[in-house]
Amino acid sequence: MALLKSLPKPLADPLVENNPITIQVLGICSALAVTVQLKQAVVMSCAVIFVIIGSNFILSLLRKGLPTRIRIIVEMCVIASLVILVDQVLRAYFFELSKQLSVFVGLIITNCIVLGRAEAFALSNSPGASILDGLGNGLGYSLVLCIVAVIREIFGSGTIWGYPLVIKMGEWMGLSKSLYEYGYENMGLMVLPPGAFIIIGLYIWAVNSIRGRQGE
Amino acid sequence: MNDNLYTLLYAAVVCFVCSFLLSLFAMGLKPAQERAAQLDLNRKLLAVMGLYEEGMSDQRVEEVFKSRIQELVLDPSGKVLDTYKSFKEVPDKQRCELLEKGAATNAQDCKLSIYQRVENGNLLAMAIPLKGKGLWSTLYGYMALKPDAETVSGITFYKHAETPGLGAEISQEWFQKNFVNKKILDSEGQVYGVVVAKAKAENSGHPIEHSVDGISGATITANGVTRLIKHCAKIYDPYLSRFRKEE
Repeated sequence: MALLKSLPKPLADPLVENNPITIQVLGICSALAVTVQLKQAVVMSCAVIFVIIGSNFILSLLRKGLPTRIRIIVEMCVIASLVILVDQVLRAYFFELSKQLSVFVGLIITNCIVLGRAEAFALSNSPGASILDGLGNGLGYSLVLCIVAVIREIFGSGTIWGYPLVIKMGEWMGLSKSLYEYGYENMGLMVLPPGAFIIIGLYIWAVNSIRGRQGE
Repeated sequence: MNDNLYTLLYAAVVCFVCSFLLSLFAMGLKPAQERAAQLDLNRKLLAVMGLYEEGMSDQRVEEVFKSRIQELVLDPSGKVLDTYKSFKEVPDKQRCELLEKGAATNAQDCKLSIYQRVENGNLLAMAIPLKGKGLWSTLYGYMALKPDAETVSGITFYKHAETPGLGAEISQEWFQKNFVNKKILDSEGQVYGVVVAKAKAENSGHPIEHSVDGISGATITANGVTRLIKHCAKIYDPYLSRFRKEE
């Protein structure tokens, strides 16, 4: 906590205090879809962090001359360009992952966090602060995504980052047979979207009860 | 009025800058994307022809593909054309259109491509390209056959834009592995293809060796797969039937 307080406010705030997923409840859709495996969640996180920082920075630079009436259109234009750029890079250098993430990279365009931060922060703050705000919100989103992905991958597939954790566990415990042969089973629910719903719900509940719920 | 003009100009400049930068990046990344797609395809071809091992590196895939797989160019009557080393040398216009109702399907001078796995002079597998319409998009894939030229040893789809979770399941392993050991010929030697059932293969009304389990919610994609298998198997039949006569 002391470390969190030493960070600049726009960066530290969205990590816990004002986390986009747990507190603002934004960007849930993609959090459900890409958290089956940790690897996908990390790539998705990087993509979102890049897009938020980029859009916050560019829109903050444009904010003084931006005609109010076409504000949203320009925001979408910038965000969409950044997302397409990310998608193209993934396709060139991470082909397998880009196939697994399929439409969800494109759906970053409609991720409420990105547009939300542009509207709420970038249009009224300096480029420097906007970059920090973007980084903070991106990391806040990633934090939740990765926690959910770790839980889902371990319990749903018995692996972590593709590493066969459950099989290795049996070896570490010195068992002759694998845990699966003793009757351990992966939890099918975790692989399906409802598994993510339940985990995110529990996570929000846990965070809120630790922080002490603030009036709604 | 001035205000409107400014807004319009602003919008035009934003659009221009965005699209200019994007096309610049897209052009720059194209070679890398094509390389990645080709590598992915080669990996899948190795898999359907029984040469893929779990965790093969990109480089290893290239090596194995180069040393074990040969590509032949055929004409529609099934004659192997020695004049071409690979299908890449065939100009686009002379390639047979595999799509149903495709313009050049019956053209006499069009060329077809086929991959073969030959070891010590023995043919072990061949893979013919598949192409046809699904629900939203054209499906591209390969079907590998055993040396008897009638038993399927694997099927793969490498490019399509079907609905994720429904039609897109055709690129999943559970769907593709159902095709293994199915037959594309009926007892009289006519092309029957492999039918993707509406539900379970047993209840499709087709012989079990010609049908596989369907995908719920993806009937149109599945029908597309059924059609394109039969269609493409027919196009390659003149060539494939040579292997059957030798038996």
